[in-house]
Formats: sequence, C-alpha cells, structure tokens
Amino acid sequence: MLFNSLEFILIFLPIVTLVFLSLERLNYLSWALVWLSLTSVFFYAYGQWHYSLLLIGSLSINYGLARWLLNTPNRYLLILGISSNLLVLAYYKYTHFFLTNLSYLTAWPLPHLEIILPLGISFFTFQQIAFLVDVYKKAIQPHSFINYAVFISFFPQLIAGPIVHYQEVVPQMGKQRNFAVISADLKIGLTIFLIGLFKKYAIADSLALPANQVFDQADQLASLDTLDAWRGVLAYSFQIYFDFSGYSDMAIGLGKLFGFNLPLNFFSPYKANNIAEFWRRWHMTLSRFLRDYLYIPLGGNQCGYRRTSLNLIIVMFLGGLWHGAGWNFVIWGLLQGCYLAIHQLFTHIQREFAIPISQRKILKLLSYLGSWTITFTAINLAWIFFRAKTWSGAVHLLTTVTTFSQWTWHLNITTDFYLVLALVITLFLPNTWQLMRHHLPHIIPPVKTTEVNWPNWHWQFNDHWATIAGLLMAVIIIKMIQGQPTEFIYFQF
Amino acid sequence: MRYWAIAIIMGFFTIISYAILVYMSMETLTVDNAYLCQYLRKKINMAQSLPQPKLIILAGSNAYVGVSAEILNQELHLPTFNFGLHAALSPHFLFYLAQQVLTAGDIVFLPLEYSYYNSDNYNDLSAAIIFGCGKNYVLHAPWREQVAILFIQPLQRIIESWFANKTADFLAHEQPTFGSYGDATYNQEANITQAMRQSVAQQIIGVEFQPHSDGVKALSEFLQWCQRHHIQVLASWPNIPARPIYADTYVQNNLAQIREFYASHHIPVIGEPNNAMFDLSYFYDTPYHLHQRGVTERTYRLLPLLKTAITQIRTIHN
Repeated sequence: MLFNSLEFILIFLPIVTLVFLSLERLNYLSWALVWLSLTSVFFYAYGQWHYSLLLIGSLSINYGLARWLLNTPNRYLLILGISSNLLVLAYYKYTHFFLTNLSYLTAWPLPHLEIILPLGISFFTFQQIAFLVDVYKKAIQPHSFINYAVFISFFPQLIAGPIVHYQEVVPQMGKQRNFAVISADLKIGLTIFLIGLFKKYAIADSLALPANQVFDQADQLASLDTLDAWRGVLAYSFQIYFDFSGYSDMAIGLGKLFGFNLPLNFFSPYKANNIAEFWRRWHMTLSRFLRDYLYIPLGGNQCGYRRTSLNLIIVMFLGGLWHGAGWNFVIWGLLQGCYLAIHQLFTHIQREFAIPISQRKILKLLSYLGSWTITFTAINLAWIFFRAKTWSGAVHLLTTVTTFSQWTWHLNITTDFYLVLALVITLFLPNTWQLMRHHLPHIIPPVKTTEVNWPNWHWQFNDHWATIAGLLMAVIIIKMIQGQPTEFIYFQF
Repeated sequence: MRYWAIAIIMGFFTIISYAILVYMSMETLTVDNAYLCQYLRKKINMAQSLPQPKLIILAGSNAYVGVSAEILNQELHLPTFNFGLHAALSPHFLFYLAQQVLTAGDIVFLPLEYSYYNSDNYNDLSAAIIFGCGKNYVLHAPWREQVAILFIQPLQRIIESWFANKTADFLAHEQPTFGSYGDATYNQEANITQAMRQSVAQQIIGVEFQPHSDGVKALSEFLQWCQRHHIQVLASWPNIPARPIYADTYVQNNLAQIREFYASHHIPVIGEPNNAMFDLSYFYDTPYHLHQRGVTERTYRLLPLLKTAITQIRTIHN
C-alpha cells in the first residue's frame, strides 16, 4: 500500500489511528501495540500477501536468535544470525544479477527464475542485523516479542526506512499520552505528513517526466541537446531527493501520530559543500548504519590515510550494491567512495601542511561557492549511473553533459519552472526539521551546521500556518485528481 | 480545531481558484494541442459551410485516413464531408463537436473506432485539446464533467499557456493540411517506411464492448440527440487489418454486442466487420490508417451498401 494512495489516506490510516488511540486512551497499551503490529503486517501484505510470511518468519527467527544470544553470547551464533539474514537478502536481491553475470562469463544458458524482490527487505534486514549486533554487544536487551514485532514491522518505516535502532524506538512504546499530547502529536504528525505528500506529489512526480524523457533517450542512444541533458540530470537529482525525503517526512509524521519520534533521514543534503557533509545529510540512517556496522569495524579512520580511503571505497561499494543488484549501482557506489577518498586526501593535505583558511568574508564566500559547485556537480554526475538503465546510456549521457558539444540556448518553460522551484526550496528555504524543530525536541539533527537557523521560520499552529497547510492540501488534492499515485523510488531497493 | 478548519477552508478556496485559473487560461494553443485544435477548427468551419442536407463521416482518424468523402460526394450526389477527427478525443467531446456541424435532415456515417466502445473519458491528449479549443464545451457540459475537465489540467499546461504568445513559432509549423472534402492527403504509398510497416504489423486492435464505459454512454446520448434532431445515423465498422484473432468467439461476442447496442437504438449497421478488414499491405502508419489505394478500395466497398441505405432513408422520408 502506498502512503500517497487514497485507500491508505482515507481508509487504512484513519482506522488504524482511531483504534490505536482508543486503546491507548483506555490504557490497553499492550493491545494497542498488538493492533499496530497486526495492521503493519496487513499493510505489508496488501498486494503481496505471500511475502508477509517471509516478514513474520524473519522477525520471529531473529527474535529467537536474539534471546539465545542474550543468554549465550556466542560469536559464531552472531555470525550465523548475520549470515542467514544476508543469505535471504542475497537470494531475493542478487541471485538474478549473479546468474546473469555468470552466464555472461561462462556462456552457460541463463535459467529461468521468477524471483520478485519483497518490498522493504533491504531495510528490515539491516535493522535486524543491527539489532543482533547490539544484543551481542549487550548494548540492548530485547523486551517482549510484540515490542520487537512493532520495532521491525511498524508500517511508517517498514518499506523504505528510516532505518531505526531498537533503543530508539522501543523505549517510546507503552507510554500513555494525555489528551493534550495526543492532540499536539496529531497536529504535528499530520502537518509533517502533509509536507511529505507535497514534496512527492507536487515536485518529485512533476520532475519525473523530464527526467524519464532524457534518461530514456540516453538509453536508446538518441542524440541529446546538452542543455536538455542537464535538465534531465538535474530533474532526476531533485526528483530522487523530493521523492525520498518526502517519503521520510511522511514516515516521521505517521510515527508521530502513534507517539513515536523516528530519526531524521535528510537534512538539506544539496546544501552540502563537500561530499562527506553530503553523506552526513543524505539518507542519514543508512549512512549511520554503514558507519557503525561496516566502516568502524573495518578500522574507520584510525589506520592512516590510505587505509581510511580504502575503507571508504569498500563501504560505498557495498552501499551501492545495497541499493540494487546492478553494475550501475556498483559504479555509483564506487564513484561515491572515490569522491570521499579524494575529499579525505584534501583534508589530509590541509592538515599535514597546516594550510590556513582565510577569514576574509569574500574569500570564505567564494571558497564556499566553489566547493558547493564542485560537490553538487559531482553528485549530479554520479546520479547518471544510478538512474540509467544501461551502461552505454549512462556513458552517452555523461559524455553529452560534460562535452557541451550540442549546446543550444532554449527555454523549456515547464521543466525550468519546476527545476527553479526545486532549487529554491532545496537551497533557500528551511528543511522540514528546521520548520518543525520546536515540535520535534526529541529528534536532534546529527549535522552540525553553520547555516542560517531560520529564526522566524518555524511552523506554528496559528492562522498563517494553517493557510499554508491549506495551500499544501489543495495542491495535493488537485495532483491526486490528476493522476494515479506513483511508487516511491526507494521502494525498489 | 481552528487550525484544521482554516486549513480546510483555505484548501477549498485554493481548489476553486485553481479551477477558475484553468478556465481563464483555456482556449490557448500550446505545443501539445496546437495542431489538433487548428485541425478541429478548420474541419468544423468547412463542415458548417456545406449545403443541406449533407452526409457527415464521423469517427476518429480511421475515417480521416480510411474513407474518401470526395468519392462518396461524386458517387452519391450528396454533399459529403470527412469529419474523421482523432480517436484520442474523449467520446463526449467528439460528439459535442459533431453536434456543432449537424442539422436536421443530415445523415451521419459512423464507423467508430473500437476503442470508443470501451473508453474512459479523458486521457492527457484529450484534456490538452479541450484546454486549447473546448472552452464552449466546458461551459455546456454537465457540472461533474466540468469539474473533471478543469482539474485534470496539469499546472504545466497552464504555465505553458501563459507563455504561448511568446513562443508561438510552433503554430506556423502546425498547420493542418487536408483536402476540400476533409480527406487525408498525406498517406501516399510511396512514403511508407519499414518502421511504419513494422508499427502496423505489431499493433493489434482490441475489440471489446463495455456497456457501462464512458464511450458507450456518450454514444448512446449522441444517438438519442440525433433522433430528437431528425438526423439519420448509419453505423458501421472501422478499417483494421484482417487477423485470424478476430474470428475468435470472444471477439465475435463483442461484435454481436455492438450490433445489439445499435439495434436497441434503431440504428442500421452498414456491412459486416469483415468488409472493413484489409490485408496489412493496405495500411499506412497505424492499423487504423489506410494508404491512398486502401482508402479508394475501402470507399468502393462501402459505396453500394451506403447507396442502398441512403435510398431507403430517402424513400422513408418521401
């Protein structure tokens, strides 16, 4: 079921929320959690019911393993747990990729396989691996099965994150809220959900058309105008940002309806002026997982410059592969790894040679603009590999945008309008957390920023902001009338 | 509560404002509707200028690039005009346009495309055309349809319409060309490419009758309108490639349902579906479009059937 579908907004969400709130008000807190886990499984089973058995089986086995690990902290048991999770993921996600490549190398005929990727498997697999590691390290103690089931299957974050930790979610369960808190949570949650829907419907879906056109043309190796090619690349960059950050906002908003504060997943990533900062702002819960469970165990930045660079490349390579079973994702991951290694090199040189940073405002501004431009361009070029369906298409598009060989100045009013709108919202307006920061005191942004803090731009539940909420609502309704809900990009991962 | 009440009221006013904005921006040609709107306007003007009574060939492009009004005009000694438009037009809009050119005593020859027997009301092309040249249609449509048409228009189209005058160069390249009887002239056999042949060979026209579809509802209303206005309708079948699949029971059942539908409205059906089926080599660029030789062949196949039907109509009226 999609968050942006009518059956979710008009039927599923109101029923689940009303019953949950009633049980909570009647102090049947455990039953409220049972209700939440059952409806979450229904949410998952809707449209692909047989995979709900996989979800139930996976969370039952992992919970059993965790209890076992708790009583017998055995390294081999942990390895068994992690590898069985990874094996299931590998079967569903990488079998076809592996066999295709094997067939290509050996010229063996490709067996016919119909393996459909279960939704959200990459997300709940990572969440369960983190859980097992934390139990093994005695960082957490698993409580009841119901708590664990809600932690894994909680529908707002089940399909595409944010990837949450056990200790982030479970302590928030089973706390009765008074009427005033519930009322405030509903207001905050629905407003954040509205912002997310607006991002998806009004911007991401509007940019999908020009992005698809250019990438389809590139995949067919059709001749492309450089300016149009750039429009397509930028359209995809903003599409994926508004699509995924919109989804994450919806998840956070929905979590708030049930009294859960979910972690931030985006913090204006395109404002970053270096690639390391970009990864601290983009898909933050995945970055955190990769850092804690891969980068640091590999040695992190504690083994010298060269090893750090290698670690970064390995982590980003695996991060790329996590996104999808395809060479385009591998290339994208490797590119990101190389970007991070180059950034690491510059940081290393700056530190080694104690290069002073100018304090003059104009130089600081120029330096910021220069580094932002390089970062933003590098990110855009990497998205080409992420989005293109074929290697030759990606190379064709990359050549077109970098050689400027077929540049002609011409307006494309609609695409340019949406690109400018997306650029202004992304770079010059506060992000969702900055808008809602007074209402989300429990969610701390893990990014130290020196940006303008938007002192007068925080959402207040007064008439002015109600007007803005009304405008967002109207745009969403009109967009809903105009077309079928489209899937979120990250659902395919 | 006050917060949500204000948000809902504001949302409501924004939605109403959007509808007004769409309506105010309508009747502007943009890249996606310029050709077809100019085509429709030209055809309406030419059809309206014909002497009465007249024979109007009404359908999508299977009539435009499938039947020769010029031959029928000469052979039937009756002013004839090819009002074949575009199969992507919404059925209600197609029949609304036909109503603009029909008067009492006229005869309508109706070889509708099969898609009209199962179509939903609006696709994007249809919405774009109504935006460009259907303001009057919106004004006279039932309120539900007015709402549907106004809200289906995307913001992109409205923004484009604001700049349409400044970027109107495309209009010069979008001038429709057809003969004085409304027949297509571009479908020369010599112009057929391998890609066009492949396109015709690969596409299969589905035959399905859905009695509750918008297309059938609109057709039913149109037939009743014709009866009230003393306009005789002669239904027929569209030209498509002959394929073994059309002999299947499923297709035959659906064709029978189409026949029954017309019978229930007391509309004679001219010929059989097979009469309108041709070998692939007769087609131009789509499975609904014949090349010039195909058009002539198709028209001469129709001629005796039409002559008989028109003679019967005249006998009854006299």
